[in-house]
Amino acid sequence: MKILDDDIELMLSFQKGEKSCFEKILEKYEKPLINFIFRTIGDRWAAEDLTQEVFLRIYRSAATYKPLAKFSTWLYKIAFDLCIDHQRKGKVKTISLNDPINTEEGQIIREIPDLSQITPDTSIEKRQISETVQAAVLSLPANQRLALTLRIYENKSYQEISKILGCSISAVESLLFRARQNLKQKLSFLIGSFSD
Amino acid sequence: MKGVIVVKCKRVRRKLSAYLDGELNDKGKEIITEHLKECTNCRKEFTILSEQDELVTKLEAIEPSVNFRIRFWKKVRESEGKEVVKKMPRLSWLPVPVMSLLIVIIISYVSGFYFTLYAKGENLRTQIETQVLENFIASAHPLNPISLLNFCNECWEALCRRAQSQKVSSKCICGRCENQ
Repeated sequence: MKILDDDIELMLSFQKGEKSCFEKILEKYEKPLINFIFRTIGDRWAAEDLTQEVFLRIYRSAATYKPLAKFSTWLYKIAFDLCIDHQRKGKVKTISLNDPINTEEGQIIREIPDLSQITPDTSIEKRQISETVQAAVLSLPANQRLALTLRIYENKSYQEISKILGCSISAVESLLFRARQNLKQKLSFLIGSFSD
Repeated sequence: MKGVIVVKCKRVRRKLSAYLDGELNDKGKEIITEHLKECTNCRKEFTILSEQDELVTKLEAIEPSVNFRIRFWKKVRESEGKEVVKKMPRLSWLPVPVMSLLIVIIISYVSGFYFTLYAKGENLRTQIETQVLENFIASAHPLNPISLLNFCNECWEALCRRAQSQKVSSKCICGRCENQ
C-alpha cells in the first residue's frame, strides 16, 4: 500500500542525494506556484522571485526534511508566508477599480468597457475581459484572494486551505463565501454572457 | 410561511459556496439539492456562482520566464557560497572594540596634552605647536600609533624641560629628562 505521496518520495530521494528528484519537483510546481503567487500579489516578476525563494527554502531544508504533512500543503504554506511578508512590506498590488492609473503623461481614468454591448469573439475583448476579471480578483482582500486562488486554481480542499492559511475550516468557508459575494458585485455584468 | 421561506433561502445561500466546492456533508448536500429544485431564486444564485467560478478559472496562466531555472540555480550556488563564508571564524568584530579603545586613549592623551599646553603660556605653546606641525609633516606619525606615542612622549619631555628652565617646575616630572 502506498503510504507516501509522490512528492514526498521525490523529496526523500533528493534528501538521499538524487538531485534529479529536485528537478522533477521544480518541473511540477514552478508554473502553479508562479501563478498562485502572481494571482495573490499581482506582480509577475516579484512572483517569480518569490517562487524561487520558495524553492530555495525547500532546497536548503532537504537535509532536515521530515514528511509531517502533504508536500504541496507545506510548499503552499511557505508561499503563503512569503506573500504575507511581501504584503507587509507594502508591495502588494491591491487595487480599486475606481482608482485612476498614474502614467508619465498624467492620470488616466480606468474605464471598464460595457461588455454587455460587445460580443466576446475578438481577442481584444477577450483580453479586456481577462484584465477585468484579474483586476476584480486583485481587488479582493488578501485572505479572500488567497483562499479563492487555492480553491479555484489549485483545487485544494477546505482542510488543506485551512492548514496553509493557518485558520479553521469554517473560517475558510466564510472567506470563500465573502470572496464570491464580492466578485459577484464586480463581475455580475459579465455573467451569463461569456460563460461559453 | 413566507418569512420561513426567506430565512431558509438566506441559510441556503450562505452554504451555496461550500455546496459548489463539494465541501458539505451528505445531509447538507441533500438539503441544498432539494431546495434548489424548488427555489428559482436560489437556483439562479447558484448558476451565477458557478459561471463566475468558470470565468475566474479561465484566466490565462502565465508561463515561467525562459531563464527562470537558470536564475534559480544561480541563487542556489550563491547561497551555498555564502554558507561557506559563514562557517569561517567571525573575526571581523574583533578589531572594532580594540580600535575604539585605541582612539579613546589617543584622544585622551592628546586632549590632556593640549590642556596642559594652554595652561603654560603663549611662548611655550607656540614652541610646541611648531614642533607638532613639524612632526605632522614628517612621515607616518599620524598613522603610526607607536610613532604617535613617541611623538607625544617627546612633546611631554620638551614641555618638562621648558618648565624646569623657566623655573615653573623644580624637578623632572616626565621621567625622561633625567635619563639624558
